[in-house]
Amino acid sequence: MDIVNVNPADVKPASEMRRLLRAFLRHRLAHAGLLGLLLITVAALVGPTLVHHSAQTSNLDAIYSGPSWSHLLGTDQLGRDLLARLLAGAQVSLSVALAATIVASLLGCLYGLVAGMGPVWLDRVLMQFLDAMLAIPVLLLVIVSQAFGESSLLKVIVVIGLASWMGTARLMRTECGRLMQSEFINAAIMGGASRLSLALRHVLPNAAAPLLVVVTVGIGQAVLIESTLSFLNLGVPSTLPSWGNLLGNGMSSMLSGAWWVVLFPGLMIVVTVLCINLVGDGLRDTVDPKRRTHL
Amino acid sequence: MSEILLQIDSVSRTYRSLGGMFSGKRYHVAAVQEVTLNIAAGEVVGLVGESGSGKSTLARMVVGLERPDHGRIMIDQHQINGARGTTLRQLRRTVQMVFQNPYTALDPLQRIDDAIVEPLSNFQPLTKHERKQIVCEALNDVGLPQRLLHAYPYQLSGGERQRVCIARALSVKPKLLVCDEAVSALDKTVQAQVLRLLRELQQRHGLTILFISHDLAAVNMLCDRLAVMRRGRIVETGSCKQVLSDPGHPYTQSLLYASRYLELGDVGLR
Repeated sequence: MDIVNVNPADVKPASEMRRLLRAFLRHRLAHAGLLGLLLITVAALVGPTLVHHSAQTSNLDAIYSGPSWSHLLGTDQLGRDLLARLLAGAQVSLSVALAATIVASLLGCLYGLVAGMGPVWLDRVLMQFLDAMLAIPVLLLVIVSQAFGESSLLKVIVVIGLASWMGTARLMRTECGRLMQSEFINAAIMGGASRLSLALRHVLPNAAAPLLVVVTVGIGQAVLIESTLSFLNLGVPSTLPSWGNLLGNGMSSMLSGAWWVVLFPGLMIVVTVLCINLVGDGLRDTVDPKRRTHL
Repeated sequence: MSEILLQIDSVSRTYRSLGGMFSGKRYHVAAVQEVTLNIAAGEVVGLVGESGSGKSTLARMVVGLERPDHGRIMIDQHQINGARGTTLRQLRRTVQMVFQNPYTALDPLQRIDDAIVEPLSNFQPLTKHERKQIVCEALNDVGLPQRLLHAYPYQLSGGERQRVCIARALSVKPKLLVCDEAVSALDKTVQAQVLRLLRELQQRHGLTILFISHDLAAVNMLCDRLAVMRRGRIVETGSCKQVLSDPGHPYTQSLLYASRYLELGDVGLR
């Protein structure tokens, strides 16, 4: 009889993360989403240098000229090239969304960790406060924040971050609850681990996969919130092109029949959020195969 | 007899349901009631009983993962219940635990060497060289090959994982090792190996072991003395041989009968 002797050290120690990555790469819709995101990101990064027109120079001879060879996506009410503005807007919108999500994630993780690992009374207080926060409409929060200081990129980022950390916090809290029950946490406590080392060494890494899903979907949400706010003139300063600002400017143009001014920014927002959500779905399915939806 | 290492002194623990505004009747479960048990240094004591008899609760109180409502638990002349913070952390060096399920007792994201060395590194800073040496010795001690050094738990079998758990528990050189159903999740042949390992380690390190199990065969293989627990109370104690060959309490008799029935089936009943 052959004795197959596999040395576990020879089998490359594929970590949990690597296994998840491999499973993720099998997800087809997520492929599409990832490809789309990649294209959008590359376009945002190198696009502006490839377009002949600048996003800010107006050309009063070419107000509301439709899509043509010289202006691929047409021009707006000041004769500015829409493609150039769309690409410059991609930089603004995407970086605002990304930065806001980072703010929200850090805040949410910290909040959830403290609630989930701190004393019970603190947990109760924090979770009640979180529920109260969820009841406040984002727009109200933003309008109130307008009362403080001028609108700036930083302010938009902070406001969106403050409006969207609750999901991450709640997930982190739940993950803490789940993990703190597990035997390896008990074993670590028996090993004399402090609360901090429990949190950093065991809880956070084991919660990373579901957190990644929430954070990914959160970026899409942030893009939407940014668009909404900018559309209402409450977000990114109107001097900067962002997708929401383009949409907002375009609203009046609709009446003069310049449909392209609204259509293309709107399309960009839809496609971007869709791609992010597809990637998020793919991640969710790899993290939690039980909830897989067949498409 | 040598000195008493673990002294459990009329310890009780009751679980209460959380009474909410709408949650109807509250109920109480007296998991452990007035349990008194002394274990001498170097002794291996088995604690047997059916599921829900309070064995695990008692074990968790002994290691300080849970607090008793009444009574006191002394380990090596230090009271473990009521100890907090640094005092409790220092006591962790005296008493360690091996958990029931080796599949959940290891952090899936932690490599074997990190898992083994983690308890010790909580107590003293270690250089890279020391770490490596400690892990190698520990793996040797529990009969695991050195090649598993950097493996992840999912690459190991159940028996290997339980050996890692034992190595981790022993890394701080505890005096008392509490094994809570430590072999129940393993199949019979691996059970025997792990039990033999525990016996070896006990003799090599002069360990005191509180071995909790519902499996009388496993207990018989390992333990000097036996305590039988039922509904939160200890109903019988005595040397292993005596209790198993001539059980005094009817509950012990029925336990024994049930285990014989399982082991030998119809043949044993004839």
